[in-house]
Amino acid sequence: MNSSKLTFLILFISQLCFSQSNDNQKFQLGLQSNYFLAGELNATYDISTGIEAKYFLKHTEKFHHFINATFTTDIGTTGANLFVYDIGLGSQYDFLQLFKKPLFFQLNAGLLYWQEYFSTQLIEATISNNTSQLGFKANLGIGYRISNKLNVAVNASQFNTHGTTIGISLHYSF
Amino acid sequence: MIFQNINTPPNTTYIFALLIISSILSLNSCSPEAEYVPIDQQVGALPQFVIAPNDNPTTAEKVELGRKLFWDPVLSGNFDMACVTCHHPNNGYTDNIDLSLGVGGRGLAQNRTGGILIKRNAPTIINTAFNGIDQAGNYDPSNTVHFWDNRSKSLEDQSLEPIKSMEEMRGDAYTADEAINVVSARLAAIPQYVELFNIAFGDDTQINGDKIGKAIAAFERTIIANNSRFDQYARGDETALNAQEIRGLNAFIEAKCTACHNGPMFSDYKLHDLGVPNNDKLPQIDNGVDGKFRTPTLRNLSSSGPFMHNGVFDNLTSAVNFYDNMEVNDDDAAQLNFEDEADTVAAIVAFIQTLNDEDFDKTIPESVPSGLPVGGNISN
Repeated sequence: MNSSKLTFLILFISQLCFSQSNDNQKFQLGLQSNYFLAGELNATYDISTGIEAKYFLKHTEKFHHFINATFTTDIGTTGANLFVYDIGLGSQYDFLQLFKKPLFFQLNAGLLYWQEYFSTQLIEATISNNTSQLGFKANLGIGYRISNKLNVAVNASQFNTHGTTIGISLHYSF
Repeated sequence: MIFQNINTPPNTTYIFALLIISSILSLNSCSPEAEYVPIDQQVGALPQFVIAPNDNPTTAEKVELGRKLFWDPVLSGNFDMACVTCHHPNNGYTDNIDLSLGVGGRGLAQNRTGGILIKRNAPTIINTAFNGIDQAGNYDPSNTVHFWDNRSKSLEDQSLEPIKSMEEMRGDAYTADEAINVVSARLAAIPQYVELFNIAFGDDTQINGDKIGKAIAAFERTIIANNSRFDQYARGDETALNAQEIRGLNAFIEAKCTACHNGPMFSDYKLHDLGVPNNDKLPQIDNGVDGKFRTPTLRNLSSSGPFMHNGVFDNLTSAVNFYDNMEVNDDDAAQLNFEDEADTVAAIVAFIQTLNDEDFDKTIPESVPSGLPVGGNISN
């Protein structure tokens, strides 16, 4: 495990320690960690991490529709940095009770704004550059509510046509 | 509202949120650190101008004479091959076939049939004027390297070698030792060539191998493509490459391709043994120089495939794929290992294609002084 991955793991665990219960559960705040599987972005980036905020529109139904916003960035890349901001709509469906807690599917999609910053050492100079574009993001996941406040999920995400990731997420409800 | 009120402890949910957001945001900056590249492995733009040897300054008259010679099959034993037969501008000054078909052949490029099989892929003439250039832009055009085995030291020397080669131009009309004298005598018997040599080199000049070589070399020094999109990017036009191409450039550097493909020409001009597979068309394995062949340039590959010294790889993707985990037999060459192979190769190929520049001289003369077919037997 390289240092960046270790840093992320420590960060992840330490932040969980701050989690506390709250009675109102219309909101979720979560952390994601994704591994790039395929696509253009896979040539440059290995791992990304992100934060996601969700607001549940129909919190009490078996179908839970939500609005989400996510910020994602890469970890441990040399010569490039990726920043992705996306906002979308989604649904969560509790399809099975497991140990009295729901197992759920989630599907969401939306628009993303993506920025990449590059830096390359050439003979003439170190050339720095950045690009940005709009696109779409789609996410499909399966998750489990491990407590009243915490959900874990495994996700597959598509970043525009440029990257496919798999990852895990942990959300805190409040 | 961050705090519920001033007299109560802050809501830990907000603290949690702030910690998450601040730590994620602090992971990266908008100024990533570039991959370190040793100076002798850096790549960059080609110079805007070409250096000519002190004893062969480039003049318009010499270039025009060289162009005529380049296209004229009078330089070949059986009047069937010109330099351009295997180095045609419509094919990026090469022939787009794995192994060239020389003396006795008919047709151009993929349509060429018959002829003696030449054991190596025809390299492009484009930018050969820059052969040997280093990261500082320095090169000595009279003491550099040409051919896959580096056996020639200048364009002046190189341009005479095919004339002496039985497979490439001479055939069996005369011996290699006689070739230059025979060709010189032929040219001296054509009044238009006499006039062109006099204009280029001075009145009553003697037509000989030295002047033939200098004229062809002067012409070849005008076959330049030094304004590729990569060149524009390296010179400061940040819009010249798109994101995928920059990813490819960075992957190219990270994968250590620059261990050999470096400098403005993307070649270290050294000989390396990479264990390139044999071309089955060849009756004998071509062993180069102790198994080694020169690092080719990566410029203008869009028009110079198939690739490697024996043209064994049909396309750029298969050529780049070859380098992944190849068995390196050479201490100077890097052992490459592409992460996420297919996507990395695709990015590197996208980058290499930014080294193409189609803005080079493609002029085809209507006739040559000998009156022979322009370009030799290139019509089927």
